[in-house]
Amino acid sequence: MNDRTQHEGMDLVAKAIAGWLKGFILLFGVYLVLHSHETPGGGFAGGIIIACAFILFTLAEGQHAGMKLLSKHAAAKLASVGALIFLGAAIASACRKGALGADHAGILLFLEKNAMSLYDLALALVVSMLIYVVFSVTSAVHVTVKDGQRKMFRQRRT
Amino acid sequence: MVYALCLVLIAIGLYGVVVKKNVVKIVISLAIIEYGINVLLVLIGYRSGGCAPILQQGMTAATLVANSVDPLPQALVLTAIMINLGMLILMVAICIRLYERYGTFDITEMRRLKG
Amino acid sequence: MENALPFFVAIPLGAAFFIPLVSLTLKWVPDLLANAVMAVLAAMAFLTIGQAGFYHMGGWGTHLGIDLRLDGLTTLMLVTINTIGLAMAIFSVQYMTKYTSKLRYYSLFLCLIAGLNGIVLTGDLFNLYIFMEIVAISSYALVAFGCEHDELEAAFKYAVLGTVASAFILIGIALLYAMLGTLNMAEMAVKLAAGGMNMPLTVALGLFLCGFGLKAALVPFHAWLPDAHPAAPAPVSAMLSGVVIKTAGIYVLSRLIFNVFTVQLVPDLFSILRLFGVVSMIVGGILALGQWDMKRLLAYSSISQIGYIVVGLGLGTPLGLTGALFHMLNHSVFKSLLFLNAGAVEYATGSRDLRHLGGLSRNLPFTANMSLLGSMAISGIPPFNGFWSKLIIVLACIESGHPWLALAAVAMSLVTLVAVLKMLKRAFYEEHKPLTVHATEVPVLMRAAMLLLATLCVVLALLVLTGLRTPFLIAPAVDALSTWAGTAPGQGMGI
Repeated sequence: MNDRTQHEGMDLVAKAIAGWLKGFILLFGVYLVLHSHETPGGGFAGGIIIACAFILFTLAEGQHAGMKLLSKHAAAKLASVGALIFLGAAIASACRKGALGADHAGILLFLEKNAMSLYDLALALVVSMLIYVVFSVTSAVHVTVKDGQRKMFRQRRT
Repeated sequence: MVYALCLVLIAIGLYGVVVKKNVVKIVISLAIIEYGINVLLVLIGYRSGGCAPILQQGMTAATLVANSVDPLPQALVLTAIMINLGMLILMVAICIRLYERYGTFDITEMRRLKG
Repeated sequence: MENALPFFVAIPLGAAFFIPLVSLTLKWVPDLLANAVMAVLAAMAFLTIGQAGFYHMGGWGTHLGIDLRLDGLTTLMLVTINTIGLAMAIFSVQYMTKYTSKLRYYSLFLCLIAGLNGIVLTGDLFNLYIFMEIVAISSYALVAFGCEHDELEAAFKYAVLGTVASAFILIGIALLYAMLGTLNMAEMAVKLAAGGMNMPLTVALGLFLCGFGLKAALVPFHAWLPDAHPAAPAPVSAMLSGVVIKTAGIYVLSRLIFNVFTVQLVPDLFSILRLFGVVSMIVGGILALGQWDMKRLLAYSSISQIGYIVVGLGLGTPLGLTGALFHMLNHSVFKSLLFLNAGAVEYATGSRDLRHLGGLSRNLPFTANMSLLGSMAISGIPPFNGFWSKLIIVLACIESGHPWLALAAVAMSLVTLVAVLKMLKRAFYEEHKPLTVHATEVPVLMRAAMLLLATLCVVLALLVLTGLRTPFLIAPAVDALSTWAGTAPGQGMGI
């Protein structure tokens, strides 16, 4: 196991630079998400960049380290949470806008005032996690050349 | 004229879907069709010399409407891109699974089902 | 009631995203949740009967925002989708235990329901496209659910053809928007009536016919259906054959043809529809005869029955529309029932190849009886619902001066009878085969779902008692199709 993890991923230079970069990329993604109500398509772009940070880490350090950081199932669950927040915010603001008649205060008012940021936050969560899940599902395949023939293998779970 | 180019792009995609034997190439052809349609959609909302449909400072709504390009097709294209993303992901996943089962990407060798 | 409209989409979508969060150890939660959601949706759908109205999403007006609209046809479709969906959810509880991942299945299934409800509710053409893609993506995934050779190949074929169809539809929508400057279907109808047809609009209509014809599996575009529908798990086959091709194909096509492009604009439209219909009816019916796979036989017969519906629509008379919509409702009930029977046979014996089956009426008496009932309904034997809707279509054919269509409809009804009798005889009567000797009756919830649909087969026949020309539930839908054009939505909610 130890042996394998050491040989996984790219070489030392790539690992070191990816280690440096991933924090900055993540920070930039979070910045974009937080300012998403001012820029067109902010939540989406921010989400993609956050996903890129995770993907860079996984590419450099190998599948196992990446999965240890954030597993496929955890990412899928986080994406579901994001989608639920999205739906909840929509329903809450619909209720707030009078579908239920009464004038609500408190949490619903907060939600309405911050609806756009909340949408973007949820969107970023969904997008980043889904892109990461897609990456990890489709990249769990090895292509090796054997006897002049290309063969594709699914990586075994450890 | 530019519209014709979109149609050419769509036609190239259709040609690929019909003619190519490799499942991955078929998926790529489908993506090309979608790109053609997206360009067509954006072109529909285009106005030569128009500005971005964002309200700038010191600009009234009327001047914005008079000068900007149509924002609706752009929103449509964004949505269509998302949908295509989902579709492509699903189809690539199916391609990977197909390769696992059949050991090939060639569609002529996948002949379990007839008709 | 208008305020409840968004919840037809929101509830299943919310449940679909909630299910993956459930811990793997609580296996009963997804079952319970999916069934509860479907029961609530079915109840809500029945509450919409006799109601009409608009909901403006986010409080924007018709011109700016997105409308949800409720009228007779929407109600009919909502009732169909959610009732069949409930039966499928009940069936899935025990049937899906033989597949690995129930969580994902229910997630996709509820996404499918959300998309279907969205298609019938929305009054906006692009929104309709989005919901159609939700339906399409979740059904591709559901077809590929078994992850075996056949499933993957069928799903790939389905996905490629479905994507091409969606592409055609999107080009059509783009052309309509370019010409008319709106995406709201009611406003489109008004502008079309004022401006008349021109070349790009005709092209758009042709693209819609191809695209939705492919989604509905009309005959020149039917190649994907006999592969895709048998490959899915039985409840999903039933859903695809019973509801999806009708909602994503026939419903949208009839909305566009009757409500947006009105007949005055395109005089030849109806004869094109009749041609599509009669060809589908004959080709589907004849191809069904030669099949040995139970589900594949049923899938071909779906093509044939879709042909009946399109012929009814293509007559364009109120009686023809009544027959078409009534047959749409009936077909979703008895075709789902037959697919569930096929699923039950597969569950009990592990095969659905008619050459390896036989004598199951002794092992699975309940399933055999249900199957007999469904077969009689589909081939139009008098007391059941299929007879009445086919009768109305035949009468409408004669009334509007197309005796040959009437003859073809009657003849294909006989061919359908032969096909389903072959299925019944080979699967349930005859001698036992090695595979079927030790088969036992399916679990109780699967039987409950079949019983629900079989009861509907009988109950729906009673709709005729409310008037052959104006059956309950169907008549408002016909009114919606024939009078909707040109009436712009009023100031509905205005929140």
